[in-house]
Amino acid sequence: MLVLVLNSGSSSVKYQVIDTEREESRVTGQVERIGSGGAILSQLRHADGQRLKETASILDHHDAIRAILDLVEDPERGVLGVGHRLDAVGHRVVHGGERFKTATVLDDSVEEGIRDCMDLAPLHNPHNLAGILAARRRMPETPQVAVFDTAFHATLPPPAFHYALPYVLYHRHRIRRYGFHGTSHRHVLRRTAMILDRAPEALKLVSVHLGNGASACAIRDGQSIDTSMGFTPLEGLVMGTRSGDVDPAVILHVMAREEIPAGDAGALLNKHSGLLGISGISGDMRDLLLEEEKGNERARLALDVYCYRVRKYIGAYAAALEGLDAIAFTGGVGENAASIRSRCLAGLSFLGVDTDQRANSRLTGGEEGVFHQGATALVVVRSGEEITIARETERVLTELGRTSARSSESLTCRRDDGYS
Amino acid sequence: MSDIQRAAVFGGGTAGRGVARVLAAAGIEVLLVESSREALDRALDALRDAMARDIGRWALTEAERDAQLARIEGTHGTTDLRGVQLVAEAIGENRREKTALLAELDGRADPEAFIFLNTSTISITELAAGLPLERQRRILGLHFLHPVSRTPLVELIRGQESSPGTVEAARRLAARLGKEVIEVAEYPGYITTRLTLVLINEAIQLVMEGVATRDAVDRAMRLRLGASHGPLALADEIGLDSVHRALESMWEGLGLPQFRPAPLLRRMVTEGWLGEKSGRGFYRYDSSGRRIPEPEDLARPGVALGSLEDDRRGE
Repeated sequence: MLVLVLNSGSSSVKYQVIDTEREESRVTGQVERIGSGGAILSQLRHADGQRLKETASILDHHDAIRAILDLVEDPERGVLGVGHRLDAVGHRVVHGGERFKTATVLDDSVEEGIRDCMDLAPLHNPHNLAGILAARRRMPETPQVAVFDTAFHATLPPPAFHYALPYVLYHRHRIRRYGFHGTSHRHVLRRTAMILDRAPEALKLVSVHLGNGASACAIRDGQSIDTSMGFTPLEGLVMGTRSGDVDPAVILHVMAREEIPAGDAGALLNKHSGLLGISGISGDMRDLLLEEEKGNERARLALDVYCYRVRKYIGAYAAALEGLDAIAFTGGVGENAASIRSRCLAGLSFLGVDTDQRANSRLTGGEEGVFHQGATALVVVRSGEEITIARETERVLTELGRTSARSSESLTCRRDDGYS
Repeated sequence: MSDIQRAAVFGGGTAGRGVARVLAAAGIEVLLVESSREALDRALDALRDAMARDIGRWALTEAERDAQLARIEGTHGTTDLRGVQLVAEAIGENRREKTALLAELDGRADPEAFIFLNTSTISITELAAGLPLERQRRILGLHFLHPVSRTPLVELIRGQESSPGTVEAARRLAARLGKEVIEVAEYPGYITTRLTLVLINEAIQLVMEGVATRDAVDRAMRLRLGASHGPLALADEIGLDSVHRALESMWEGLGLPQFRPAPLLRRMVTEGWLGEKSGRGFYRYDSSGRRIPEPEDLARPGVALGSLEDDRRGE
């Protein structure tokens, strides 16, 4: 199946065309600066490495989707091949609330449901939805699926997802832990099982996604049972510019002392904290590793806090899982920063966690593999959110095809009778 | 109707700069128009200063600043307004100047362009009255509150002729900017200016009468209203000249005595004590507008009451 995977942000749409049989991406591209006359459309065609970059007037998501389809379907510059067309579209949607526990075929009522989740993810869902509306309007005949970041965590048990806050807040404002990066953790589980040649259901796995954002996930029986991000993607691990866990009283105290309004307190926690906040240098791991090497103490401190937090979560999740078979790293940092991986794992030999330093140092730049000496497998997985979105899209469409083959036949009949 | 992509903001004062910033932050290309090269340079400097301050207090990142500045183009004098879908007026609160600007805009702005007036004391209908009806239909009042980037509120005021489409465009714009819209009837001061001016004017009166110190008044009202600023600090931030002008305009418009500017305010404005922007108002400020810390003075009542008590003791 050829699936167009779309990730629509406020002023950008990222896309890939994925061949689900071969599990490979044919093209990676994006439209940036949507809303301006100087929007930039760029793509890389993987078969021949052809790169393309052009500016265009792209005023909204409709224009962006049209430009992407024109390019992807173009006989010269496209990737479909003669006589082929896109079989489906998979949309990344950040928040599915409690309603969407799995990837879901899009129709008007699902759109409405995503709109209902907007107040839970005001920075993302509106743009995800704009991409959906545009793509459905442009390709009404092509089946489209919403794949939710939160869906993999729909299996969190109540003790893991409730905050110890007045229960009425859960009812009134849906305050609970949802978790994010679900598509990535799902992919890590599948790849780790393949690399270790184990059944996914048989693994007690801690998946650690270290990228711009960062989260850990405890997986047992093939299901997420705990994860470090909560109501928003701010909780848990230290990230590039996000604080992760912090005593909520600190915020109230700082707001009063520094006379900061609520909106700016949000920016403080999301954009000025994390590695950037502690180091005062950068939120980028590469910069900090260089600075640390030069002897910068604040860079060292930032990295120490970062790695210590990861280690703490691994310990906690070993307890939650009642054992530990494997720890897997993914994401830009998780895939490339071997020294960070070994720092996160230091001192965990009591859990059977022992790093094979030589193997570890070889696993960078997209190499997948294992790097353990002890009983607990240590794995690096290349991130594959887009491939997982494509696979999920195929899965739900195949299931739908099986269960509703009959009803779609009758739909076709009705179309022949009335609509053509 | 497509969303607004390109706007012009007339006036590079506190309000105009604030409006330019929130528009740019929402991804809109902004022309910031001032009357002269010098005024424009001052406005752009002040804009950069304000952004630096916001970065310092974690409200803005450097990347966000760069993105916003890239979308704001400063110009002065006669500006080409072709392709501008929205003109946001934010020049001083002066009836004559606003009327003249509107007449000029009518000749230069695209016929479909909306014109949103940022006034709180002058009638939209009166300002628009001299223009062709089609133009009047595309004009309304959209009152941004200071500080524009942090106040999640705009007051929306329909003029007599403002069309429903224009109101809808204003509501959509406000939603994009993350501002809640409160619609108010066309009447001097609307809600916020009317109440804020009385609060400030009475606070100044209190200090003048010696009922309490500046710090005591501000602290009491901050705690009473759960606000980040007391009325005197707020007056400094708005600019004492602006406060003074607004009070005069309200006094003119409503004839209510509570809007007669307190003599102390008049005197401070005459002396050039204009608040944050001049380095001195009720408080002192450094060149970047940061308040210079002073020990808080919550001392007991001053001159006026003191002398009353003396009088009483004498009886």
